[in-house]
Amino acid sequence: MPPLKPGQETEFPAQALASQRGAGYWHSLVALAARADNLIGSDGDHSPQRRRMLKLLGASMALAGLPACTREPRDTLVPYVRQPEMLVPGRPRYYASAAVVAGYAQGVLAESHEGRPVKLEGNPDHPASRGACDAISQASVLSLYDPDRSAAVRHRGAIASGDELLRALGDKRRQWNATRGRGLAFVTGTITSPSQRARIDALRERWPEARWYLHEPVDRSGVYSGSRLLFGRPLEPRYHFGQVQVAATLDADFMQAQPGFLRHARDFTARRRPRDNSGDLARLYAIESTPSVTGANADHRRGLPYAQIEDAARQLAIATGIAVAAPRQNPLPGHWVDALAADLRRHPRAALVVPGDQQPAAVHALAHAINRKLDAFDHTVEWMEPVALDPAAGSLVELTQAAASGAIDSLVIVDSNPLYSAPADLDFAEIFAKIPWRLHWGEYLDETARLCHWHVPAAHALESWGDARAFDGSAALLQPLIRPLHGGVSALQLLQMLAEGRQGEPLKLLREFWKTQYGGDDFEHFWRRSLRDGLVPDSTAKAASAEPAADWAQKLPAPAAEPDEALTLQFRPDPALWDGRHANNGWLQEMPRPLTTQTWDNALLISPQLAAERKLRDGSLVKVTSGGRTLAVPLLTLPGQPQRALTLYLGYGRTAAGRVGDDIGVSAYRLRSSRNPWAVPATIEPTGAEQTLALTQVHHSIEGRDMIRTADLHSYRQNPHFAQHPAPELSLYPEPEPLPQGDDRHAWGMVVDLSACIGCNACVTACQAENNIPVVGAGEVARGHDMHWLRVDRYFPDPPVSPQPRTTFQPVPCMHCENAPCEYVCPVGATMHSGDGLNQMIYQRCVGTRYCSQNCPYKVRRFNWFDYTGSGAAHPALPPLQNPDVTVRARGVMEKCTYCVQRIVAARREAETEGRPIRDGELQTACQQSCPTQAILFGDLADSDSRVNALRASPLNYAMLEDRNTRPRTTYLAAVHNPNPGLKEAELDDE
Amino acid sequence: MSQNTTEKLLPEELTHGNMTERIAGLVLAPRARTRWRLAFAVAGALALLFAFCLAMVFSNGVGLFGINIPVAWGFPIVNTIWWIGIAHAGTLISAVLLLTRQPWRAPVARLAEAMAMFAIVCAGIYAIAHLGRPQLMHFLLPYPNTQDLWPQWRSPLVWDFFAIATYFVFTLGFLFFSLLPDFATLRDRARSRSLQIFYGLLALGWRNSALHWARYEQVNGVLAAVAAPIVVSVTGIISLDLAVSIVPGFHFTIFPPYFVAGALFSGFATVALLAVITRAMFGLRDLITRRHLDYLGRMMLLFALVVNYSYIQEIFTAWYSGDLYQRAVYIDRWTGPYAPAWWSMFVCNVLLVQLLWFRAVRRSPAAIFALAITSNIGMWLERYQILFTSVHASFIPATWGTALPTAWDALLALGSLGVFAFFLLAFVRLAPVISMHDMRSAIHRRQQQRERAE
Repeated sequence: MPPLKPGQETEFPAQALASQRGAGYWHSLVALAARADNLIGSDGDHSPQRRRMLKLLGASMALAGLPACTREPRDTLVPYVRQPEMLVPGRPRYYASAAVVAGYAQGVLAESHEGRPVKLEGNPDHPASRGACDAISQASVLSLYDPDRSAAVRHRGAIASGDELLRALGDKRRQWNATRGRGLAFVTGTITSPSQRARIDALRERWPEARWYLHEPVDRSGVYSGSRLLFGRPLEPRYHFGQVQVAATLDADFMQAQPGFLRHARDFTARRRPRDNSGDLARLYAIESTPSVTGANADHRRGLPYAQIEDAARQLAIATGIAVAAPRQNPLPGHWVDALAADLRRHPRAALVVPGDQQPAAVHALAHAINRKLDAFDHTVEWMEPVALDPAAGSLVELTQAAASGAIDSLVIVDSNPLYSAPADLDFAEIFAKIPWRLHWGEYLDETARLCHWHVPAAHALESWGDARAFDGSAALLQPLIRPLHGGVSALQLLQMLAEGRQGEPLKLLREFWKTQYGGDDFEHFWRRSLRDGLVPDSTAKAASAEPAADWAQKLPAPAAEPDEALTLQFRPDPALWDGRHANNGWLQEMPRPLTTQTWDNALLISPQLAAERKLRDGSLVKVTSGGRTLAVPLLTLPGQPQRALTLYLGYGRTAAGRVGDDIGVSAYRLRSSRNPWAVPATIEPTGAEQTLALTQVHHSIEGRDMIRTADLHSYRQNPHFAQHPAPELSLYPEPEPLPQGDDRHAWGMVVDLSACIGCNACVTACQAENNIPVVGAGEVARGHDMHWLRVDRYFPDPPVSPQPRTTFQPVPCMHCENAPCEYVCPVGATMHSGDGLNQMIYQRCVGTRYCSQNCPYKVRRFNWFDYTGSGAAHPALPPLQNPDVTVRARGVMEKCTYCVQRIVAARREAETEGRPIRDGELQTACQQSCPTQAILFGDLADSDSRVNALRASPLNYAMLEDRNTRPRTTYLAAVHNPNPGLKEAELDDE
Repeated sequence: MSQNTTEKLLPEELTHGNMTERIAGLVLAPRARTRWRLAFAVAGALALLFAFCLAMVFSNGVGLFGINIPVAWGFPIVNTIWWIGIAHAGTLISAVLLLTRQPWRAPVARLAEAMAMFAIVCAGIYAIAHLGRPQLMHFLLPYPNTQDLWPQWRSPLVWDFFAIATYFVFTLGFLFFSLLPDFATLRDRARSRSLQIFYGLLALGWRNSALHWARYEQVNGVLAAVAAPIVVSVTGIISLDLAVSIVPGFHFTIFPPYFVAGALFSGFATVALLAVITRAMFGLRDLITRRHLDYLGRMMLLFALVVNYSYIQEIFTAWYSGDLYQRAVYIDRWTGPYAPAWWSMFVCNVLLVQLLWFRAVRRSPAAIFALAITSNIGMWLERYQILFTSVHASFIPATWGTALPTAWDALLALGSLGVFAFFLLAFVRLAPVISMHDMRSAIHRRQQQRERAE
């Protein structure tokens, strides 16, 4: 047998895979190897020979045993031969960890099936989560299995070994030791991890001349510069929405985009849900530069271009009695501001003004000065030392300047992608290329990694030991659920490699750090408890006392000049892709963005008035020009968008994100400026071309129908039964139909509280993760082939040109009608009613007539038009990620919400084993579990004491399309708003 | 029918001998006419296209069609209903005209039966192509299986399945029985051994005995008597696919008679169309006379008026029900994204057919040809707008959307026309396009009448 060529065994198949770009999926390793022509013995002689044949046969027998011969990991590997206690195959285990979103921790529980993490759920014990989980955190489990993740250390693009990297680092370290780190620079994103901070501090101590730069495209510098302006030192606010009675936002999307948003949304909506018609509700005023989830839920909302938010803040400050310079013009109507100020003043210690993270320092200073005036400090807002900031860190602008002057000869990039996300005016790529030595650590071979001399693959959060702090400063531990799939290294390992030139054990590194932090004597107990809870005990940041400096108002920058006639182009993080780092995640790409329902693309958001004025419509391609740079972007009209402002989401237009995220949308960074990162003047010019937008909802008016029933608090008090519409007599049989009786009989039902639903779409992604819902791609979504079982309908009840349009949301899962129109029309009985009232879908029996969908008045059924999951699909399902309790559906079958029947079955099994009935609240559907505001409640209607029964007894309870006699098991609680009674009339006047 | 009428329907010089000679000659001629060969080549190419499109749909999925949620039924169902409608007039002309002893039936009956046969084939293929998993269509059959699973009898689709299957079997039998005496004629006139065997087998030993004729008349009478209820029930049941649902725009009790009338309207139009084509292609102007066209035109007008009455009823019901959703569907039909389809249908089925009130129009082959085409387009548009407008914007505004046909829809529809033409052309080459024995009886009756007159 000819000897194997050296290196061949490493090239097969890792290199073939790693070197692959663009479309080019592979079915099996054999097919891949055949393509790579790397089969053993393919030395040019292809003629069949007997001896050779026998040799290969023998060799293949011998090699069959070889895969078992890889080196055992040195840690203990517990075989299932002797089963670990509590581990039952088929029953998932849950581990507490944290998902890190833009630096801040969200506590999660990771569901693991036989060693494979398949789903992330909120950690009920974590302060930032309280059991809820947002779409971005949930979708990170999809990225874990992403085949496009970087799988090898690379040197100048070619695969290199870890030893080569360590040797190269050894050379560099000798150089840095000699120069005390001169010329060395780090670029990182926001880091809240205490252990990483300690390691970075140690590095800086060792090489004091080294510099550290911070590049977070969606940064919060305004928060810190604002508090520095007001208090003289940077502090971070911590809001307590649970105590807020009246809140006003100044361009703050605290329910969707600020650290702690899940908690904020939960605490605040809890005060806005009517328990009965006598209680009081919290009120929300929103002043914002672009429609947001928070603004959509406000009782009063005003849209102003970005720059005028500061004017509005000054107006409000003056109205609350603070002496600041008046704005050049008053963007808000006087009576509106007065009403707001009066409302705030009426609720001292229970009022709050929230400035937006993207607003400049002045807005923050003004907002918190108002808060101080309202006695909000220590009640609705507390101050603490910054969770994330390192005051010594420079910005990307400073890095560019330093690099241009030649002061940097080695650059270490830690999980940052400045080549994609640097503002266009920096010409970063050009200067970057001049730095002589560049090392990149990250999960993907992204735009920056491709231009670095060295690339080190990062381990995914579910593969690594680590820690991170949440919005309130509390620390959570990240624990791995799986060994790194592609040999990635954790952040702590990377920092250790840089400092010590060796790669240590990730667990040991983290434990060592926390040993230094822990003062007590039972570290093991502390450690285990922190891991189990997902939270380091007593780590919440201490409140700092803060008093405004005497001269803060003098130090405020002068009011901005009158805005000129040009349009303002505003940038916003994408609700799903954030700054672009999640671009290769199919779940996120396909998640309908909360207000636009757009998927797979960004569009220039424009007010309907401006679009009509320019004779443009949805999908019209326009050229946006700002600062001499031009981009072609399709338009999307969005009611509520300020007339003179355009908004473009960041995060699109990636060129090296991976096969999913490449060339999706346009990169807003190409118009961004380093001086005005959030708003620039711009002009638009039509091109005449059109582009199809992948929207999941194309009709926005509710057409006067009663799908969503709402009332303001006043009318609700007058008429608590406003949501009950008289229905004609529907049946000759006695009403209501009796529910099944007995301990083992159930009648599952769901109630969705429309007062609480904020329309964030976290439930949609939760459903996708739980139920193996495929990703279909932009073209399919645009054709109406989207597959989400749960959708959040969004309506603009007012005409599109109305200046302050309202927005309403309604999550629509399957109604599980007791009198289901889908059931009797199926010719093969593939959709049937179960004893406990579920409308079931039997995939094996379905022949695909689609009659059920035709006859479903709610249109909640989804059809597998093509094979969406197989290896030939555009976005093949990832087998290790699939929930083993849920069938992966074949082409040609219908599917729909099952009320998470697999969870019902699991709970019933559990209850039967323990010989007890299923407890109320024991069972949660995936959507219910993820919901930040607990708008969804699932339970047993046959249990007269269940919470779901209590809610159904509410006068607010109604069924959608009840006059069709479908008798839905999913019902809604009508939404009650709480507008300011003094403002309502006036607001109508000026409209 | 007066003697006068019968006279005008048959050419004076027609005798048993020359009639048989001409019609059998069309089949037994060694070389087909050039026009036929051209048409056959085109139809064959389109049939191949149809096969290719079907293969693509079966291997990729029904997502190739322009359908989605909310519009989950598209071209396949539209075309199924359309083809079934065309099939109906075939059966009805042959059977009902037989039962009512219409003397003008003979020359067009065979054509109508053949048309019914091949239209039902197209309809059946479309119904299968519509399924998401056509390989499992036997689930609709009540066959014994270990899981004791039966189809669900409450679903109109099961009724539909049986209706189409019954209709297929019936049409095949009806066509074949009526061909027996003619096959025997061909067997006896064929020169080559192979053709003698071929037609001999098809003729099932027909010997022209009185007993055979007695049996034949019995069978034909029974089948014809069964035909009328079958025609009404098949289209009625297909309309129930829509009417049984709760979808506004589908849910009308008027649908069964409305659909039967619509089917007969388009069916008579198609027979007229084929009659004009056959006249021209095979030089049968003397056998299929203008008078025949006149009668076909009258039938078209009659059923068009019934269809128009149904439109009025449908609109009235939507308004009179007071139901928000029913009314909205109608407003949308007139003003929504599919409004062009509704208004085109209105022009074809309501306005243009009124020309048939004029005798000159009914007797003009060109005018009948044009009106037959517009009527078929109109009836196709009627099904299209019913299926698309009713669901594209139904109850919940957030689910509203449109589905537009894809290239596959268009190619498959074109291909199905090709398949229909292909089978029909093959049929007229293999079997007499006009029933020779019916013509013989017509000539015989004329002679009898003349003798009686003398």
